[in-house]
Amino acid sequence: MKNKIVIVEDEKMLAEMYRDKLERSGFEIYSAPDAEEGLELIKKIKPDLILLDILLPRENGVGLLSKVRKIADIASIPVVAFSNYDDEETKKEVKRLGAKDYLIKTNYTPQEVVDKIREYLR
Amino acid sequence: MEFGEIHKFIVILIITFGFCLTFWVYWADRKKEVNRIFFLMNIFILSWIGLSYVSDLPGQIGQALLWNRLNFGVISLFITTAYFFSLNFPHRTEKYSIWDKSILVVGIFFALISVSTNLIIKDIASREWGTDIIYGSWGSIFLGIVFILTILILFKLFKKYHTLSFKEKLKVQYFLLGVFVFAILNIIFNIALPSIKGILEYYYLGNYSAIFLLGFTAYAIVKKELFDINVVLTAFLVGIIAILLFLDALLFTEIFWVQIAKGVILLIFLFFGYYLIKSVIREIEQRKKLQKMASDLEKANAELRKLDASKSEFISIASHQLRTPLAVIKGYLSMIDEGTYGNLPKEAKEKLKSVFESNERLIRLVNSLLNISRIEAGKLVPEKKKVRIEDLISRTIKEFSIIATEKNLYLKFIKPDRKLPEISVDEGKIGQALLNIIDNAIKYTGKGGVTVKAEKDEKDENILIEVSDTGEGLAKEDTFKMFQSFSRGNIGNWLHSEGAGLGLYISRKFVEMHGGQIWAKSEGRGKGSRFYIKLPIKS
Repeated sequence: MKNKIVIVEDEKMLAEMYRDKLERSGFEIYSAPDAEEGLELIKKIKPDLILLDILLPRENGVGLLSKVRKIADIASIPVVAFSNYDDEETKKEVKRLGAKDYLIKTNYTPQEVVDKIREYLR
Repeated sequence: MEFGEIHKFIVILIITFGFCLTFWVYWADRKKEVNRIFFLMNIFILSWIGLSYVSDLPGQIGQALLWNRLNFGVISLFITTAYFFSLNFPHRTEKYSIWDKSILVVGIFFALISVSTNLIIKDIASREWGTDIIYGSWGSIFLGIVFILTILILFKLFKKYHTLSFKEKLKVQYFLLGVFVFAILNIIFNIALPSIKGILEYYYLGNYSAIFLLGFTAYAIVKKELFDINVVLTAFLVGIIAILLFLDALLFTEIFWVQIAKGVILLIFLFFGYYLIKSVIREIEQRKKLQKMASDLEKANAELRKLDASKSEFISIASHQLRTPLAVIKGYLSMIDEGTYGNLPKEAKEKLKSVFESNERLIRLVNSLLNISRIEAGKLVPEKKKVRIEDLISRTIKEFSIIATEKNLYLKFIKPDRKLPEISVDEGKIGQALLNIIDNAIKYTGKGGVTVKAEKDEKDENILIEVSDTGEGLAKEDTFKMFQSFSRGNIGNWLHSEGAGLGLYISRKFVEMHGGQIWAKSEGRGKGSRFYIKLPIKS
């Protein structure tokens, strides 16, 4: 059975690109453009992993992550934060909320992202 | 002129001068509460001086009891207004409380019973020099209240002192100087002389010293620009000594030539006193100038920091915005290269690789800009953990193995004979510094290669990493300049080459935040270069 991944990403082009790469790599992909839709999708799908952008319109990724951690049946889903917002404080906060990693988008090719996801799904 | 006449003359002089000061303050600003309270307070002080004088006049023995009772009533009102003065001077910091209002009531109450009953003053006794007071059953309560209110006045002033501006503090200092002179002279003539020597007849000199309190305070209220208190103190002391010398020469010296000699001494003293006061004024002016310069510098510095912070903030936001399209370009290029969208002809693939490399350069540039903005905003703090440097070097070298092979360069790591001790560093930051230096070495080496060594220094205090290459080498002046921030100027020569100015500056900052050092050596152009990173073992 395919692993399900929810991508929360507001940049349409990036969302499409990662969906394309991840689907080709054998994952089942669901994506949402903001935190609110993202949370609904996560509650509904209960994915195997969440790929979460940090700078999102209205509520940011940190807010969404802390909400996920408070809802019992989705609280333990592994989360990989994925952003170009390279801020030490935010990184610390995301790690504190139990994210597996905080990846800077420009530093990883889609293939390297796939490798990371596989590593965290093991 | 006999003594009684002189005494009368002095009292009239003090009261006249006192009234002049009182009206001077009152007319300076009638609307201000502090000026009005000062007006009232002075009327009471001057009445007190007048009544004290009258009660001791030989012809007034019959009415002395009445004068003294009136006098105590006035003292009660004086101390009450002085309390309200302390609340309003130099400005009021809080509303009148129920306590303040109670003090007003108590003050008026004691003034009334002083005048109309024998509770405070029971009787008077006639003495050679005037009249002495015999206290009633409430006499000690009255004196106790006067004492408590005096303490309260000082307490109120000291309490608000630290909240005042520099100018207001100076005003309070003037008032306190007046209080100090008033208190000292009262202690001498009303307490020390009567209790130690049994001399009571000069007590009025203590009362008259109220004129100092009045004078200093009036000056502090009305004048906007006050002399520094040190100037006033110096002038005051010089004045007092001069008066004493003058009186000594005039009244207590009988031999004429001694009088002349003392006169000369007085003149010499006045001459030096004048220069002493001038030097104090000059010193204070210089201090003020320095203070102003320091505060101007501080302001300019704060302004610069603000500008620097906004510059860093701008770079941070701009870098983030720049990264999004760069991530899209990087992502699709790598997917095209991997053949996700079909196979490309060999030539197209080669060109694509150049595009990918250029994009990587842009990404590195943005990362460097972001690092610099953080360094300059002081936001970067090393997150240290125990690291084995050999492992860090090996990992970093591995990242360059392909590019070195492509350039036909050797890239080797000569490991130390014995294992190096683990040291506490931020792996990411020291790794980045190492990466920048090795990257630089490979970039500027056409033939030969790059060698990395790591060892302990002679004293076993530091680990020394050396990155040597057989490349272009450096001019002597560049070995220092190249570690300066690109924004500090004088690095123009380095800016033409890609990223060099940024990467080395960042490396320097990363190493320095670990208490380490970074430097470069070269025998000159074309003779290769050696870069060193020194990190303390204990940090």
